[in-house]
Amino acid sequence: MRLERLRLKDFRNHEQTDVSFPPGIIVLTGPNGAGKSNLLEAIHYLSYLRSFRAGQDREVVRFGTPFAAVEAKLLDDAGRPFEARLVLKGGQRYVRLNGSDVTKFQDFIGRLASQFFYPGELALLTGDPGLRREVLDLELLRLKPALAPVYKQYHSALLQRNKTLKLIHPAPGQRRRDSGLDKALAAFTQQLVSAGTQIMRERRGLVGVVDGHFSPLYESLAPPGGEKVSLRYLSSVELSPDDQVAAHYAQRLAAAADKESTLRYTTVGPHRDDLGFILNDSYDLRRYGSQGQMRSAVLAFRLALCELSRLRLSDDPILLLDDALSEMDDERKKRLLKLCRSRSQVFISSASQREVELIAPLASAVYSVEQGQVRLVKG
Amino acid sequence: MLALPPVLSDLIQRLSSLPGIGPKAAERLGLALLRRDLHEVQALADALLACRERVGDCPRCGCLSQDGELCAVCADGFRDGRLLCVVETALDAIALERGGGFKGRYHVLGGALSPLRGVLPEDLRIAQLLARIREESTQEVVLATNASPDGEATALYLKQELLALAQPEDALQAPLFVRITRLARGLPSGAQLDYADAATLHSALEHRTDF
Ligand SMILES: Nc1ncnc2c1ncn2[C@@H]1O[C@H](COP(=O)(O)OP(=O)(O)OP(=O)(O)O)[C@@H](O)[C@H]1O
Ligand SMILES: [Mg+2]
Ligand SMILES: [Zn+2]
Repeated sequence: MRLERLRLKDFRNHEQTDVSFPPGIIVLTGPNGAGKSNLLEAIHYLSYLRSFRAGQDREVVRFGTPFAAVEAKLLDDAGRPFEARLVLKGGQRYVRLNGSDVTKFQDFIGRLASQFFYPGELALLTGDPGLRREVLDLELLRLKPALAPVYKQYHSALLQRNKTLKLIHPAPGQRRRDSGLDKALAAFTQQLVSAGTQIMRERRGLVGVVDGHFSPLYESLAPPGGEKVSLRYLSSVELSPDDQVAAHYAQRLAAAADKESTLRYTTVGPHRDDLGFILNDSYDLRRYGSQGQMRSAVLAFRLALCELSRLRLSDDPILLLDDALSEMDDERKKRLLKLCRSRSQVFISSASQREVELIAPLASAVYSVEQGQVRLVKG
Repeated sequence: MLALPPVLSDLIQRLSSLPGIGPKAAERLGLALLRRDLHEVQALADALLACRERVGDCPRCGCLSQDGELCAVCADGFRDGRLLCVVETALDAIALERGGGFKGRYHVLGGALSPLRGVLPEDLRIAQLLARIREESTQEVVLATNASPDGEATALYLKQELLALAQPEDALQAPLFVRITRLARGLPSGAQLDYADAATLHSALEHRTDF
């Protein structure tokens, strides 16, 4: 995937930006607060229809203006051009793909394939497991769109089952209704097990494949002879042998019946699972890893997802590295840049002149950003 | 702005409250009615009232029927009484009838199971369904609830109820064994493969039949 041209209107501090980009490594330089991250955020928005910073749509609309627009001309790796456009106005999103309105955002997300890294991204490792599940699910749905109804079934079964548990075990003072509730619970349990088993097996398979790319990528970032990090799908259900997963899941739910009668929600399943980053085959990197190691792990994970997309979908996502090099020692910086050279298109932002000098020889273009103005300085 | 006579604007407002009719269409309908012969308008008004008063649920299957009598399908003696198709709404039965080819009778549940939206088993016509199966010696029940999550859960619920018929709690009742089937899911006929969405193709492959 390659971004050929980007136009921004009233997006954060970019009043009117119109730039063309070559493939390869692209450097964005400029002082703090210039608008470098904002530009990367705009690309991310068009990719995921939301920001990588937490927050609301209206925050990106330039102060005192009615709407923000992001427009991109892209080229996928098969050489097919396409155009995407996003307008954010009054808390609403309007999306167009090749001139036609997009109504199902779910089908659009990931069309512009990108992966990103910014300093706050360590939260992917240290934060809520929900973040990691979301990344896995997004990737799975991109690789296998046929899973969308399975997720829908699971989500619905989970909510219905939780509600049914609350009806079967009413709060003190409330009366229990209906005699068919036990059978209803059994129906939602079956639905949950059938969809949930598929999701867990797919996620486990995905994590295995991503790990195949992740481990060597991590090794090439870390100094030689250093630690080893691998990915593992941590499930609340025993996932082997393969044909017994549904039975295990059903057993775990049956065993949790007592607990669930007091908690009144579903305690086992893919909605409780996690993606583990494991240090030297036995320790949780989240607890024992250094800042630099965790940073490398998240970067290697993003790069692994790029590699997966390149191999499976013949589409190498645009890599957005916001301030990714700061806080890395020079050796790691060089190794990361080496990995970036084999990707279709990589955007790297940096406020440090020294860093820019390090990257420039490898870059196909350098842009300066100042007060929301973007200018080509080399390339 | 020109104010309309109050009775006319009242009519237009009532028309526009109907599904699929916006304010513009309501205005056009209202004005067109003004120009019709009085007896024609009277006939329309009578038809509206008659429908509202006389059309209701078939006492046996829950499909639409007139004057509290059996619906056309229930009254049709050539239907195969051993084959029963369970649907969520009367509209679903009408859709299946339009498809043609189904020789059995229907049973309308009156919705799909959804505790989240306050629809519990007791709110659906399930007791009536089980009673019918006993009375009509049903051999096969086709579960034709929607392929949506709620429709799927409803089918799973009904399957338990139907299996339980084989082991009646009441020792005096004979055990009943009914065949339980579910509508196949797959490609719409005439569909081109490369236009079908991934989920449909997946399910069409999964539910493929011998050829
Ligand atoms: N909605 C908005 N309207 C106008 N300006 C905004 C808006 N949101 C943020 N800004 C401005 O954007 C600037 C921040 O830009 P950005 O985060 O892209 O900086 P940067 O170039 O990445 O800097 P750093 O090197 O510090 O990371 C700030 O000056 C901020 O006031
Ligand atoms: Mg920044
Ligand atoms: Zn009837």
